[in-house]
Amino acid sequence: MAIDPVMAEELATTYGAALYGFCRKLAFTRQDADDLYQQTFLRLLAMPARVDLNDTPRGFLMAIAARIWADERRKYARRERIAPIHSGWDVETVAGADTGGGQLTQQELQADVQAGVNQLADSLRVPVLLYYMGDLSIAEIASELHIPAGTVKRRLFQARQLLRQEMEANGYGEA
Amino acid sequence: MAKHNNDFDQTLRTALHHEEEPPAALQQAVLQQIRQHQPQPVERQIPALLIAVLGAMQTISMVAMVIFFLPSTLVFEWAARNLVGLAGLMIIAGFVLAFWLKRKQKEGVPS
Repeated sequence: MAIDPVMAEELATTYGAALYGFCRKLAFTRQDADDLYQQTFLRLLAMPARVDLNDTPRGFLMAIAARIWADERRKYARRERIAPIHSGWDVETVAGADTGGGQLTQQELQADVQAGVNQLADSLRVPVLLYYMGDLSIAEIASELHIPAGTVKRRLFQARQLLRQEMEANGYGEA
Repeated sequence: MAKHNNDFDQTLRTALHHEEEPPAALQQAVLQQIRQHQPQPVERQIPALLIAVLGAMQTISMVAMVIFFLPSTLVFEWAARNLVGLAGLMIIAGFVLAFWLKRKQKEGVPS
């Protein structure tokens, strides 16, 4: 038995905005984000009914999207090595902010964090997004990505270090 | 230091919080797909099961062939002496795989 379509519809209505926001952050272009969003629900419909959606449905949907994204990236990795599909980052999501060397405003900070996250490798970016956007615990991320919890912790630590360096260079933490 | 880390964590959480309504056409298409979705009956998945089993058997046979033709005489001799046993093992492995796939299909996971 697959997941009840009524429940899937409810999830799409309730968590659509959160999931689409996640897809926009994860994918490079709007078109990729749209495809990812659509595929997430198709994958959800193919899942067995025994999947427990009561705990963190929002994080669960994001984890499905992250898995699809990882699969797609693996599939196209070889092609990208030969002829890159994504020549640059999505300008809309990483529009940089001119800090002018002073203290960062909230908007600038947000733009800097987004730009920093987009520059991370997928292996670091996906756990960061699941942790901070999906509010999934380390154990849940480990289970969804099929990697040990220690690896998730290490990747989060590395990502934080890189982001901190990047942001400090832009004026974060200056009094 | 711990407070500094927590502050940074909070900064990341706030900065990354992002919700965006999907385009109306996309949301409509998704809802339409959900409403029209018909779970695939198990009978229609049988060809997929057969293909999977045959593919697995072929993979096992190919691995066995590679082992047989390895330049190591030790491996060759051992394989030649236990050919019947190996073939039996492969058949058993095929059956186990078939049962496992069948069980997964009953649970509704597409193969």
